[in-house]
Amino acid sequence: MPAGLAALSALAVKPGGTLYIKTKDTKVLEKPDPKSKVLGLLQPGGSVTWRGADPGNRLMHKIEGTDSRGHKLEGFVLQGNLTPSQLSPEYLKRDDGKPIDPEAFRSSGAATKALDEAAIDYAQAKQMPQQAERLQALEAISRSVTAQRLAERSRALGLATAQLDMPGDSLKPAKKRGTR
Amino acid sequence: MTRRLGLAACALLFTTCAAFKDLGRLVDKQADPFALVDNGYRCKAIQTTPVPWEEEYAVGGAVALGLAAKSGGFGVDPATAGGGARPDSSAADQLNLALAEIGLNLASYSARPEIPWTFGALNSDVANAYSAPSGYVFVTHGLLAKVENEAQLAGVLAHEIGHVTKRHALRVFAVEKSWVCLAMLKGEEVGLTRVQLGDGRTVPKIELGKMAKGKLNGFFDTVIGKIVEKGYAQADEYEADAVAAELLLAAGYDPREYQKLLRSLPEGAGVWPNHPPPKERAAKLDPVIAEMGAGFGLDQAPKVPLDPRLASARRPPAR
Repeated sequence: MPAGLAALSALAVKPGGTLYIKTKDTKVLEKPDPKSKVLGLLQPGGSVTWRGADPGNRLMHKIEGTDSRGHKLEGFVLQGNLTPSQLSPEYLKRDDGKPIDPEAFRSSGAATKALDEAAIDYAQAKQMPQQAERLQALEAISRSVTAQRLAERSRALGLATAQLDMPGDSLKPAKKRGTR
Repeated sequence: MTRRLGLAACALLFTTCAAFKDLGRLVDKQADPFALVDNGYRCKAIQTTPVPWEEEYAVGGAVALGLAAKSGGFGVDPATAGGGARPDSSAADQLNLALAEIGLNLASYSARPEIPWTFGALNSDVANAYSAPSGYVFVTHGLLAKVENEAQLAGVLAHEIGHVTKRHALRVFAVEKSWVCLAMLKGEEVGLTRVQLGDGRTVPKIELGKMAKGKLNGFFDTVIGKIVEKGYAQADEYEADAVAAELLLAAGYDPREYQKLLRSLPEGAGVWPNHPPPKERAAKLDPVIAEMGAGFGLDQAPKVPLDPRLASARRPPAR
């Protein structure tokens, strides 16, 4: 195998490897059924050992993890609660060394301000203030999208979702589809 | 190596070792311009120091505007841009809303889920996609006309998300910042401030907010030129592709559709000559998809058609 391919292969996560929790209060369920007993909760940034999708419901994944009180949990979580990406350090440490989670970062205001003043000055210097206005319009459009809307859209398309308690949620196993 | 050779010669010939040592130092300094200036190492350290969020946001906005200038401008309803319409009031904005919904969902699985991601279309017929620091991701109308389904489009967006989460553009920015710092140490007027150390020496402190506007804009021009004109290194492209495959799997898409898109692009496709061939990029994704795909039930991934709101990309863009 060429060196480049080997390097990319090393990046891939396989069952038995590590995935991360991306959603606050991720429910760990006893069975791959959203109505089954909740064994515990996991929090964003926490790592879990990934055992792969349930054969009967590809959107429920078996994991092993540890909750914030140190209790070991082994059960099933929705695929939408898992991410292959370890959270960027900007969420894990502040200048004072204390951990900060994504929600705290968002609520600090740092993640919600509009186009930076320096960029607006740059647009004016380059005589493209109209593009700065349009970029701000794009920012507003992206900001208008809610987590609920993303979950509804994903659910309607059969993609992964992170929520269990949406109206009309039955989370039925995906229909068997043809292999390509 | 030069220094080692010098010392070896010194040992063998019992000649003036000091002279060889000095020669070695001189050659080393010539290889590293930061070593030629007092305190130059402080400037070089900028290259590996994390860029603060405020700076990332400032340079991200400037790069986004630079991309718009070179790629036909943003495809936004002019009424919306003036603040006179609802975000969902036109076909152009419906298209941008659809891109935001697809992109934000992917970004939620990324290493930087909570930065203010912004997704949108550029009025260019050349098929391409771009990103800028702090979460700006854009696709051209030309690329939107090429994708066959949502998984392919999601792959393009996820690749650009990968460039942002891996901070590829910020690395370019940090290197340029270190050169500005070095110029300042050499006494050039670069519009930055110095801070005084306890021992009376002064060293440059690079803060974008303290740069004179004219100098700052020139600095932005340099950074934008590096990122927009030259593109990223080949290794960065492969890394962004690997992130794309991971995000596609996590979100529930079939990443093989992204490979299919890459394979459909002609050799030499893309704006930058240093980009690796698309078919080679597709091939390098095979091990990533094979390893992760089995655990994610890849063969049961839904076939998601293109969102109807993207249809306006196939019409002449609004300028």
